[in-house]
Amino acid sequence: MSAWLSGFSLKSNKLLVQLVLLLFILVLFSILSPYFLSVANFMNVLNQMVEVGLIAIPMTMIIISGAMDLSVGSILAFSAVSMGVAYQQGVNIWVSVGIGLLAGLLCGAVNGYLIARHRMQAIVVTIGMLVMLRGLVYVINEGRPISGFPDAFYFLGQQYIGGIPFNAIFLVAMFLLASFVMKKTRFSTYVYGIGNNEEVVRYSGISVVRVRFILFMLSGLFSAIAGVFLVSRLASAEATSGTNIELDVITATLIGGTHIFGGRGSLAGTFVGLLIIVFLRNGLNLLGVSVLYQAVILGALLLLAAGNKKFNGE
Amino acid sequence: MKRLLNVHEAPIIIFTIAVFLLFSVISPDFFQLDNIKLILDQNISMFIVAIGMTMVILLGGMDLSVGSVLAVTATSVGLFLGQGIHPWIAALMGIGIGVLCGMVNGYFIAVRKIPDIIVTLATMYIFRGIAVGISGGTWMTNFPEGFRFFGQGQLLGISFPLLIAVVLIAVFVYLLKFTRSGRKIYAIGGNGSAAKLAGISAAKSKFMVYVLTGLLVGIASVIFASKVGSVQASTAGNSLSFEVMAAVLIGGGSIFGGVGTVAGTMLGVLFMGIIKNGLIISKVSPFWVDATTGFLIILAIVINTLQRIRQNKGKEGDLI
Repeated sequence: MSAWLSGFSLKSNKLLVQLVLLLFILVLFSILSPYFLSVANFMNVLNQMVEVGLIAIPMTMIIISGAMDLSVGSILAFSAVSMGVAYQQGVNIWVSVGIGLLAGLLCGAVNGYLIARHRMQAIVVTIGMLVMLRGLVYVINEGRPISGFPDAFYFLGQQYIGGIPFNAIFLVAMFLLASFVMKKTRFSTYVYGIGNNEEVVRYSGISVVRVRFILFMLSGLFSAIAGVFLVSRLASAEATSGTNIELDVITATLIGGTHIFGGRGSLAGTFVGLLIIVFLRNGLNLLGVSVLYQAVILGALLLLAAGNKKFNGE
Repeated sequence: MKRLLNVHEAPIIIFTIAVFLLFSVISPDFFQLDNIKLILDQNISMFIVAIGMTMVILLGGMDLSVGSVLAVTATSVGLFLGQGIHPWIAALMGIGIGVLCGMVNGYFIAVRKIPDIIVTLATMYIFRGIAVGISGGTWMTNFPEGFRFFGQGQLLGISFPLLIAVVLIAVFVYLLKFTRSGRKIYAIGGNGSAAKLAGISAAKSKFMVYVLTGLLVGIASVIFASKVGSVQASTAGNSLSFEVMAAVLIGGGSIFGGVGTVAGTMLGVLFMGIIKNGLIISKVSPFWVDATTGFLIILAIVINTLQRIRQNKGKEGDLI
C-alpha cells in the first residue's frame, strides 16, 4: 500500500510539472499574441492535433514496451495516398478508406513480423520502412496530390458537432478507450512487463512475440486512421503528408513522462504532452515563426524531456 | 576457397560483384571507365561520413544527425566564402563547426547519458533548422574559383577529394586496428560491462567518436559544397544519415555494436553507389531510388540478424 502511495505521489508530482508547463505556454502566448486566447483558435488547435494525437496512443504503448516506431509518418502518407489512388480508380469512398486502413495495417504487420517474430532492432527496421514507404508513396502516385473527394467524406475532418470538431471528439474517445485498456486489462500488464523485464515475461509463459506484434499492428492502424483524418481535413492526399510527424509524436510522448527505456509511462501524461506540443506549435504559428525554427524548438524540448529527471520520474 | 569465404566481408564482396555484373548485362553504358569514375566521384562525401558512422555503430549507437550537420557546415562555409574569407580558412572554419556539432551530440550522449537515437533525432531537426535559418532560405552559390579545388581539383594527377578520402580511410583503418583508442571502441561495443571492468571509460570513447564523426562530416561537407557548387540548406544531405547507416550495416557492421570494419563499410558505400547509379542508368523511375534505399536498410538488418543467429548457434541455448 505504501509503495502504491509513494508511486502515486511521484506520478502526480510529474503530472503537476507538465501541467505547469502547459499553463506557462498558454499564459505566455496569450500575452504575446492577441489571437491566441479565443474559442475559435482553441477549436482550431483541437482540430489540428488529431493526427499527432492518434499516433501518440500506440507510440506510448510501444515506448513503454521498450521499442520505438519511426515509420509512422511514412505509414500515414502511404495509407493516405493508397486511399486516394483507390478512390481515383472509381472505388466507393468508404471502401477506399477501408483500403487505406488495410494498407496501414499491412505496414504495421511487416514491422511487427520483422521486429517481434525475428527479434530485429526496432529502430533500424522502422527507419528502413520510413525510407522505403516514403519512396513507394512517390512511386505509386509520382508525387501528384489527389483531391476531389465527395462532401460526405469531409465530415470526418471538418465537421463541428456542438461547436467541437468531430475528429477531436473521436480522438478523446480513443484516448479514453486506450487509457482503459492500459489500466484495466491483462494486455497492459504484459506491455509494462515487457518494458521492465522481457525475459521474465517470456518465462511466465506469455507470448512476447504476440504482444509486440499487436503493438506494431496497432501503430500501423492508428497511423492509417490519422492519414484518413488528415486527408479529410486538408481535402487532399499528398506524398509529403506526415513528414517529420514522428518528432511531434515522440516529443509529446516523452514530455508526457513515458520513460525512454520503457516500463513506465501513461496515456494521461501523453495527452498533456500532446496539448503542450500543439499549443506550442499553434502559438509559434500565430507569432509567425517558421516551421523549421519550430522544429529546432521541438528538438530542444525533446532533449530536455529525455534528459530531465523530473519528467522521467527518477 | 573456404578461407576466402570466411573473411568477414565475404558476403558484401559477393553482393557487390553480383550487382556489378547484373547492371553490366542490363545496360551497356554501365561498364565504362568513365561511369566507374563517376560512381567513385559522386560518393566521396558518403565514403568519408561512413567512416564516422562505422565507429558510432561499433559503439552500438547510431547517428541520425549527420545529414543535418552536413547542411549546417556546408551552409556556413558558403556564408564565410560570401564574406570574402580565404577558401582554405573558410574550409577550416567549416570543419570546426562540424566538430562543434559533434561535441553537442557527444555531450548529450556521453555526459548526460541520453540514448543516442533520441539525441541525434533531436539534433537532426535542430541542426537542419539552424542551417536553414542562417542561410535565410536561399541557395548558396557563386563560390570563388579557389574553393573549387576541394571538390574538383587535381593533385599529382589524382582527384584531390579522392586523395583525401583514401588518406582518411587509411588513417582510420590504422586507428581502429592498431591503436589503443581504436581497440577500446571495439571493446565497449562488444561487451560494455567487461570493458568497464577492464577500466575503459565508455563516456570518453563515446565523446571522442562523436567529435571525430563531426570532424569527418565537416570535411565531407566542404568537398560536397565544392563539388556540387551550390548548397540548399533545407535539402542538402537529406537522406544521407539513412544511406550511410545502410552502408555500414550492409558492409558487415552489427547494429548491436562491436562488429564491423572500415573496409567493409567502404564496400557497403560502393554497393549502394553502384545500385543507385545502375538504377538511373537502366532508366528506372528516379522515385524507385528512395524506395530501394529503404529496402536495402531492411535487407541489411535481415542479413545482420541471420549472421548473428549463425554465429550464436551452438554457443548458447536458443532463448525462445
